Amino acid sequence: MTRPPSRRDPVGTACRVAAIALLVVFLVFTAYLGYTASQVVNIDFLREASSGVAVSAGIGPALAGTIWLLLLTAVLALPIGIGTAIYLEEYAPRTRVTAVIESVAANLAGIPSVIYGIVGLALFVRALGMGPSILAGGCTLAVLALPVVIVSSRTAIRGVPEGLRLAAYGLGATRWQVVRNQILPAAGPGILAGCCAAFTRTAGAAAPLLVLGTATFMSFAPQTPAHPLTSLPTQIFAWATRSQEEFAALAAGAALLLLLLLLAMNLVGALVVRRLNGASR
Amino acid sequence: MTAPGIRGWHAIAGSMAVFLLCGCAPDGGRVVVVDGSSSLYPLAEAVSEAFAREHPAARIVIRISGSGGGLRRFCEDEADIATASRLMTAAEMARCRGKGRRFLALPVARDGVAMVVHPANEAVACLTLAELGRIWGPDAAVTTWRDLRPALPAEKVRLFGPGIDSGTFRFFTRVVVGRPGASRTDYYRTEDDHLIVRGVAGDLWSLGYFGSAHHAAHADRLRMLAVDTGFGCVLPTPAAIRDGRYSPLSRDLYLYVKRALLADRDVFDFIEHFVSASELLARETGYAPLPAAEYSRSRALLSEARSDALGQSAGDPGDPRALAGRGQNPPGIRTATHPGRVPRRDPS
Repeated sequence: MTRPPSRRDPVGTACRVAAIALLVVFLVFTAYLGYTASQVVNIDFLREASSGVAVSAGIGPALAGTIWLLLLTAVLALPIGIGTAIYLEEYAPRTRVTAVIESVAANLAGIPSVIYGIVGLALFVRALGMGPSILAGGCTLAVLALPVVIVSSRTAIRGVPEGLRLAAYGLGATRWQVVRNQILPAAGPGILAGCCAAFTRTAGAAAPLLVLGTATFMSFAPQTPAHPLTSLPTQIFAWATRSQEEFAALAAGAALLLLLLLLAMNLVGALVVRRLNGASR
Repeated sequence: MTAPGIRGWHAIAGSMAVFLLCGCAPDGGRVVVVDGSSSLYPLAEAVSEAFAREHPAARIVIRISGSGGGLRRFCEDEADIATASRLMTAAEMARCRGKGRRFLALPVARDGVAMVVHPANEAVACLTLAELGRIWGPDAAVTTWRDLRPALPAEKVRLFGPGIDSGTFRFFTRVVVGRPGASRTDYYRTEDDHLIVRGVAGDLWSLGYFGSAHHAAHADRLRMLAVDTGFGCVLPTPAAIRDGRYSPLSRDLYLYVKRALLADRDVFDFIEHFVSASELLARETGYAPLPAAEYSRSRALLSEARSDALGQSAGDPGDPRALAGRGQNPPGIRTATHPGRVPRRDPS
């Protein structure tokens, strides 16, 4: 008890150390990636296709594949996920059925992503005849993202003060008017933050796509969702497991790019959240 | 629980339909998908890169699923061309033909199954076929190198090898154990040869096997063992594989090609290029090229099959070649069973 009072906060100190450690780990990780990647990343690396000769290998097709996958995931998962959350919170009566849906959604978020790949292979690739295409990959990733989108959107919607709803109903608003004019603007930032988290999870997912069947070599960038499946995480996997050392640098370059892509995505998300917050105030 | 779930799937199906409608390829050639053997991957990659350089509009995709996995995807129409380090089994052929596929098997190169150890492991240089059976057989009792030979150190043998979808696995077990697929299971198994390279290179007392062409890129990290098949110890060098000294552990590597697809110019050009370029590129990527006559025979078969396919797709019943193509025993079956070369089934 000889220490000054400000130092006698072990929990606070521990938390501070944890936060700094996290930052250090992230910086070291990024610096290592950047250092390893600096040997390979240039404009050709962004354009060229993968190659058996490390110096002429690039991530053109993989990058295009990941952008397609993100678009498809957004188009498929956001309307369904947010719609389900609104339905569960605002429309559905509190019955046993909705309780089951709630717990299913919550538990689905914890299933290993490779399981989604196995289901995707059976359902999208085989039963629905999509083949191992970008489309099948997008559908699989959308299913992977759904639980996270639903759970976080519901949490955000539940956080909207009950008074807001009651006041709107009291003024004679219909249920949709309440959702459209009160709930969504108030819950928007929370929903968006949840969607960002879901996207980060799906953009980095390699395991489910590998199960569907991904290209190890692709001479062109996919231009439609019907083209064969390729993506940054699976390209990173292919290079990282490749036994020649030169390919480790390529994997680092692709990983760095994926990291930048996710950072940019989350940054845009954060800016929009801030704008929404400002507007609703 | 079901009501919104079903509604959700309808929405997905609806969006998918929209995407499929706008998803027809706008320009460029047909996408040619190659899937299968990792033993053939270095050659397939080199061939595809050369082809893409010459034909910038070409769209080539290669996947690795192992010979078995590739042939399965080939028959499911998820791949146009399968690469295989073995011929189709009778069961596979029946299943594939049952789905209405008619196909050709074209040998493109030859390689051996190479036994590899850590380069610092100098205790062993050559293994006999019988010793390989004692190491890899289904009831193998060998756990340390000393179990194999009393003069070797009592270190645990760490084993790395191909998984069950691999053609190399089926071939190796057939030759060494006598039954395809009969193998011990307590070792690190993967369809990806790169992981075997990493495993063996990272462990002083390891032992692994894979297609010998993969060794070329890793000669500094792995040492190949010679194998004594009864005529002295032989290393799986391209020369020894080519002149048959490494038999019975050398095998032909094949392309499986759908006859109907040969009517498509893009597919035909790529396969033609694959066969023609293999002679040169096989050497560069560590395989043994086949005798030149084999390549010209494949080319002749290909152009014959292309005229059949063209006749069929034109739907002209008066064309005699179209009729020949629909016959009970299309020429492809001849190649698939390879009368020219007797499959080596007997290890002795």
